Amino acid sequence: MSTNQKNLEIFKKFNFEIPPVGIKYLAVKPEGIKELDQILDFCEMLPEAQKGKAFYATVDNFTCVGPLLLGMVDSEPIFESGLVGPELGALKDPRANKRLYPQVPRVDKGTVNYVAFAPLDKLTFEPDVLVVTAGVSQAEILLRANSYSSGRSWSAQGTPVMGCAWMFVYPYVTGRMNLTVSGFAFGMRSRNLFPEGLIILSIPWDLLPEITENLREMEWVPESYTLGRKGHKAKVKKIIDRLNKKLSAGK
Amino acid sequence: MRDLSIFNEFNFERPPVGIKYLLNKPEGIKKLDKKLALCEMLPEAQKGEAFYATAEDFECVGPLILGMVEPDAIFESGQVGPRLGIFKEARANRRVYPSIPTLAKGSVRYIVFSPLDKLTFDPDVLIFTANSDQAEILLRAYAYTTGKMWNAKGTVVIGCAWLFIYPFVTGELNFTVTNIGAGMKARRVLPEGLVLLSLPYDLIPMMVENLKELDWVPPDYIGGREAHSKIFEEVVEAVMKEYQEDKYSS
Repeated sequence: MSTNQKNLEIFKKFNFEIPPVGIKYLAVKPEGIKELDQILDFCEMLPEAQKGKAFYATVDNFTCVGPLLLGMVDSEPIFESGLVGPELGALKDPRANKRLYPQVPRVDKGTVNYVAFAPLDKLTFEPDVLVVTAGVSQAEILLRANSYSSGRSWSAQGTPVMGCAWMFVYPYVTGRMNLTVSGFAFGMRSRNLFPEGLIILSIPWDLLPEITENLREMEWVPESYTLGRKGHKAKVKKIIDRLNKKLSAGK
Repeated sequence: MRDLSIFNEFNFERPPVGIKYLLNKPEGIKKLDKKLALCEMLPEAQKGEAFYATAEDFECVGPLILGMVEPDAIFESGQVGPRLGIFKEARANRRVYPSIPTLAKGSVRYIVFSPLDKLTFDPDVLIFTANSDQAEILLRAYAYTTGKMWNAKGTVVIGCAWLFIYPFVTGELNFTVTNIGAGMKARRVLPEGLVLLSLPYDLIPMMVENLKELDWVPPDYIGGREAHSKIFEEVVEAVMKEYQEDKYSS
């Protein structure tokens, strides 16, 4: 097990109700992992892995637009012309639906032949993306860990359809964390994949060392969160008074 | 004033709040009678009365981001965040300040808040406190005619800047979830897990039109996975048939 994989152990301390899932994009067949034994949409592979088993999927295991986003197939004129979304009532007309396609993140064509999924406790590979399904309090800690040593802002991008692209592919191709709220994406909502109101956070591999280190170091529940409004205000005032005193002395 | 009554159909537990940024004193609206942080003015307006606030009505960094006061070296040097345990060190906290949206200095002296049913002005920003079901409809309405992706932004501190200022200065929709920001969580401003969605004035007409037209709960959302798959397959088959027939005819 690599150091990076060991570092992911810290995620177990969250006691997530639904386990984090690591995803890997591969050109060649992964060793020691079984092929998925059913046909699913890309978004459905996340809850499938959360059931507790690692697996990989090839183009034959997908329905919906997964293979298009993964560069496994040629363009799909039916979808990319924007004809499907209006028929489903998701968008007003094809021109609105069509505009989505240049915006959604994709993997370069022909570069991925296998996608491996594994829940955190079955990870045998260093994930390219770690997808965390969290409660709000847990997500708050992760967002703070994303900013703790860097001051980095968070951003969340998405479209009402093809939510899978933003959750699985965007962090991989941009190196940025992304988040969404369960129930925001048309397809995942229609399929009732998750209880509503959970935060789904996707972290690319290159942010994981920083985030795990910050999680080891920072206070998960700062004192301010336990004091209530008045207590927090009093604490901030005390800090500012002390800092002002120092500043004045320095002048 | 534009008809915003379509938003009443959501039956929000907490009413949407309109905000206006003014250089001169608003007429016919009372001044806030207490000191609050900018984020706390949202639930204050949700109690049901409109009010305006000036620089002396604020606690926290509101006046700074509204351009009402000079920069505060204590905050902007990043000294406070690490002492609250939010950032590792001052340089991380400091990096937040150049990224947060602010209003030009001296350009706003009054900020007005009003719940939807007491609006007497066209809001510069309209803020919704929604559950995820309601937020999904609003996000779908945003993309319905435009195909635009949503792009939410924020920082772990000074969440008010992203909620109140960002949509106004950029013309972009923004959203956050209650209690994923440190200040609002520590102050216990709103219950956890609500979606706070801010709309700038220039997106409101489109949103109103789209909400009038779109199916708020599409059939796909009702029947579950199997029903969705069936509808989806039927749609794809029908579209494919049309496409192939046309392709072969040309």
